[in-house]
Amino acid sequence: MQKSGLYRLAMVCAMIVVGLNTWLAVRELRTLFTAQGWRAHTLEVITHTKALELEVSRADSAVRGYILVSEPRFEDRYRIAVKGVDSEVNDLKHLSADNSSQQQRIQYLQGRLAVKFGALDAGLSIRKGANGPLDESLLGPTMTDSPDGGPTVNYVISQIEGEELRLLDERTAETKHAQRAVWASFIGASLLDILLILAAFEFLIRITRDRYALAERTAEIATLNTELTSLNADLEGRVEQRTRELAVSNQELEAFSYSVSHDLRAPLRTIDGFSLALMEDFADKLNDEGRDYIARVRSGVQRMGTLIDALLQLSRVTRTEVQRERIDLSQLATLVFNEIQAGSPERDVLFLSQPGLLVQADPRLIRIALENLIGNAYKFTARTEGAKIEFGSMPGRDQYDGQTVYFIRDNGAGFDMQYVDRLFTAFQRLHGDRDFKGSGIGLATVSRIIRRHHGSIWAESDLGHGATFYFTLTPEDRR
Amino acid sequence: MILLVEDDPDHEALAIRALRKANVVNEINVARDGAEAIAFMEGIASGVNAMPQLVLLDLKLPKVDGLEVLRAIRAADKTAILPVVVLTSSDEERDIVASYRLGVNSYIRKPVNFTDFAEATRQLGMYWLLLNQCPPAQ
Repeated sequence: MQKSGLYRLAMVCAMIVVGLNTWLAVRELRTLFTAQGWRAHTLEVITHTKALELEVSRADSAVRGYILVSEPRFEDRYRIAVKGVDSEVNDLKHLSADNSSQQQRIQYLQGRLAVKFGALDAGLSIRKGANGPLDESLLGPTMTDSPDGGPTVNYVISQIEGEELRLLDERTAETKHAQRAVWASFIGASLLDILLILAAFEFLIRITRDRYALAERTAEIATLNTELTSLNADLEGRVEQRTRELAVSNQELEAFSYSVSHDLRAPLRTIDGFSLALMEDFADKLNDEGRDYIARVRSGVQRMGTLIDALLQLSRVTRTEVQRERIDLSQLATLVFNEIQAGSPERDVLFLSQPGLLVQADPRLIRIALENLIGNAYKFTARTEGAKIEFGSMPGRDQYDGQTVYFIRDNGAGFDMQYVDRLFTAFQRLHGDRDFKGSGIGLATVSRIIRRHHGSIWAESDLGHGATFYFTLTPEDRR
Repeated sequence: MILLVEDDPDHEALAIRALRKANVVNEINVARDGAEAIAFMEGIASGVNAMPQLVLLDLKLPKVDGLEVLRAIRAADKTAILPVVVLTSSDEERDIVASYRLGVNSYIRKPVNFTDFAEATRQLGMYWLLLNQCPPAQ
């Protein structure tokens, strides 16, 4: 758009330059023609002065001839010459109508001619009137160039001619000057035209080159596009395949989990059931040691059952779709704590929950997370006097700037920060079963739930003085 | 009469023991897979078998699974309103939902701990055989 405007501007400029050239050339030519016209005019005037001179000398010689031989043909010649002089003077007058100094000279010339012709006419009459010998003294004025002693006619004509010659010189110089100007303007115009043509050619070449490059680039892009399309198709195919594979593996996982939930528990129930039957039906045949063994068998079965349930929960957390809705975290935390507290009514634990913490999250998953986190806090404060669990929030800092960080803090056993990396890995436990029982899967489950909400989880602890677990929940639309 | 649908002989023995311990004196018939359970239902329809007061149904069964058995029970005219309690190891949501969709009366997950199971069985027997008013046998 911008480029085509530029081209149009360049074209208009070129046209203006060419037009200006033409105008200049025409003007110079006109000057030349005018100068040449004037020069021709001057030459014509000079010709006429020469003719006038000739006519005057003809009249002169006719009169002289007549005086010598008195033949009428000389008189005729004289009359013709006089007419010729008149005609030439008229022509001269007419031709130099624009030149006042010449007009004055011509007027003066007419005066001088009148004097001259007066003398000639007188001479002619004297010759006619005398039948005898001529009184030659009477012919004096006729025979001299200047009858009254003033400037001769030829002198006056030569003055007129001189002026015209001077004008001729002047006009010749003007003509030459105009010729040079015409040449200069033509050469200049031609050079300019050549330059313009060169520029136009250069421009054309450049455009062609650009088009060429463009075509090349278009071809390149087309090739790239084709490649990209095939790559995309390939990728789509691969994604489809992976999705299928993933769906299959998910199905397998689900089938596996289902199997685990059913088949692994079945033998445990059998062991526990018959252990109990043994204890009940054969109590009299068992001593304390036997009963202790049975109790240990049953406790092992319980542990196994808990582990299976925890594993199932972990896999379920991964499998289920996250369905977000608006939930009141504070209320949920309190509810979870009350349920845990109901399980061990003998314990006295203070629970503080910051009210009104609303989030967009999957209520079932978040419940599982809170159950694990609050359950942990509850568990690890079992040996703490004045046990306290706190749930709240604070504005995030550094990489969590602009987000809300939720936390669950207890004043329980805590853990050694040296092992903080292992905290969220399945089957990693920082406390022995002797101290606090656990599956080692709870925090891995929590971590997975938080990750599925695109959040982060981390922990801080002072060994023996409690632990704090922090987590963020990224809203769906902020991802 | 109670119909117990259970493929595991150990669990069968334990369930019967728990029921007896809970003072359930009713006759207990056992179907050892889904096909047997459906055959028993057909026997009811043709009048060969008596109508049970309660069906205790496991979900994971060989041949025909428990949900299919439940569907068959609800589809047949005579047994459409028969009380059925699912008694299973599974606490998968889809099993629970599917069972209720098919019209189960109760869904109980068998706990690993047998003491808990015995207690659940006791309550079950008490509720369904004593407290609950069952639909009249046709």
